[in-house]
Amino acid sequence: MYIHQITVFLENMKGTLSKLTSLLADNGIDILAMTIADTSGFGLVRFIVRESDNDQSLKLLKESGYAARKNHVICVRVPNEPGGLNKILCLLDEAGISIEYLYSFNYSEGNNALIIFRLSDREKGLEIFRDNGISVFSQAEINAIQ
Amino acid sequence: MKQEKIHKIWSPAIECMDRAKLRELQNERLRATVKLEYENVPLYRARMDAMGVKPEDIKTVDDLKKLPFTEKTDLRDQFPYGLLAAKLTDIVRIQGSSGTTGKPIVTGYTQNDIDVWTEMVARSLTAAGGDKDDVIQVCYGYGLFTGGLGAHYGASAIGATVIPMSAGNTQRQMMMMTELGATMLCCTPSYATYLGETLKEAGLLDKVKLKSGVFGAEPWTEEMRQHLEELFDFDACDIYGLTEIGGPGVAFECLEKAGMHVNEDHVIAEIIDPETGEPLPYGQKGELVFTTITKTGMPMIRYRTHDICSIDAKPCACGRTFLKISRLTGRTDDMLVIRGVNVFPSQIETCLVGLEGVAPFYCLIVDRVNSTDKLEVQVELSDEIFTDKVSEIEELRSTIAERIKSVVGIAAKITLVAPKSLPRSEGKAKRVIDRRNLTNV
Repeated sequence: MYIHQITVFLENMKGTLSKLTSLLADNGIDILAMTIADTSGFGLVRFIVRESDNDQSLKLLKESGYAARKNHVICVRVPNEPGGLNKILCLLDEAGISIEYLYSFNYSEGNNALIIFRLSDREKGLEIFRDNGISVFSQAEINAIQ
Repeated sequence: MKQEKIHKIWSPAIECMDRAKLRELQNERLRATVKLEYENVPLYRARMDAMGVKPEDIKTVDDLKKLPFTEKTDLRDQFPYGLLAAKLTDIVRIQGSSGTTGKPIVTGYTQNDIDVWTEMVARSLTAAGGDKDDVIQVCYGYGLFTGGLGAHYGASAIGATVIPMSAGNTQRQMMMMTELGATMLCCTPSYATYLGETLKEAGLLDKVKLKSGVFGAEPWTEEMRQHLEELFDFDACDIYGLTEIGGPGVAFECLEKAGMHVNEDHVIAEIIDPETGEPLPYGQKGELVFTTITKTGMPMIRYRTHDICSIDAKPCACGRTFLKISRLTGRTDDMLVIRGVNVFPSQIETCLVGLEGVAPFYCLIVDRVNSTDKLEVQVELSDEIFTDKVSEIEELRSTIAERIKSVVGIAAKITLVAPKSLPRSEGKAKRVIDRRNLTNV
């Protein structure tokens, strides 16, 4: 129940992000979620697109001189209420799983926020979610986002 | 404060020797060196045999051109002891510098070689006005690098008071310089400038008693000399040397500051056409080549320095009869001198081998910021980035930085750049961008 994410390396220079988003926009690729991690020297942009756009995005990026990759992350439905996220984080903590990073979709489903997790141990994380009745959002569901 | 221009000479009988007599001395010492090499160093014997040259064929300095050249790569290939002409038991010291790839090059010194080296630096410090009444602050690094120990030996030989500071820790250098009343300074010209500017900012320049400085280990310009002399109100003299030939002091400036006198009783200098290897006449610019004629540990025959300069045979007002070499105007290879350390771009390549996620394309950017050399190494990532985690990219950066520090010996800022983003010419990445303005015209 993983979903695909694309990671792109950006040099820390003016205009690099809009160059990247222009490339995707010009090719009709819809970004469903995005996060940027920045350091003094570089930035990593991570984003989610529909499955049908993944390979084309990667191809376009590499052709345009970007260092990029596709990898798996987990997307979780988190109730939009006080303590909703906390409950999940506590479960992961108890299981000894670290969170490398997380970010959310700019789309929400009813009363649920959609949070993307990159965990130190993906499989164990999925297990914890399953055992505790936490619903994960599938790639098929992402593809169906209107 | 500036000293009176009096030409002091450490060994006048040698340094002001009649040139015909000096030539006789060189001939005799050259013959002995060639014999020593032929009999003790298999590589030299093989090369001379291949050229059909016997030690008996070398009678005078004019016969030098019959002999094969020695290259830095020979020292690497024969690492560590292959070029020793003496037995290891008679070698009392190892000194070293960077090689063209990961491995350093080392040379072995006998006690005789240390004494020769000491004599050469003593002459240099004396030529800059030094004597037993001076307090000499040495801020070259002490260690495998010959700068610190060389200056130390020379300063001790002339009976001066030595402050063996070694490199770095500018605050402490400034405190010692002002409190102990140092009268002479030995370091790289860029560090001297940095020290001077820092002293100026701290309002301490009027407490400085320096009368002169002997600066080397990296190329510098007349503009830098002027700047230094204005800062400190002293005499800034150049000194040249290389570990392979015997360390600093191979050639040195007198207070005329018009070229560096070559210690011709210990080395013979030639200028050659770097393309053809043919010797060039005095006055013409070409590659500087040295033959040692008194070293016994690891003598060098026709060692190619890859430094470009010319020889000036005009008599000098200081009274020395030794020929002078001009300021260095460049290199015939891609070697850079950064904070006194010799750096070859190919060394960087060896640091990148086997690292996941980087392409074999890199660019060295050297700049001088506040009188200090800064090295930035830009490394291209491969188009399939190896991670989605910032921490792993930071780890890659520090791994590269550590490798460069250990192989090259200096700290570099590592910048990772996008695939295929470095400037290329004819398919090859441009390896070096040197923004320092160090060219002497």
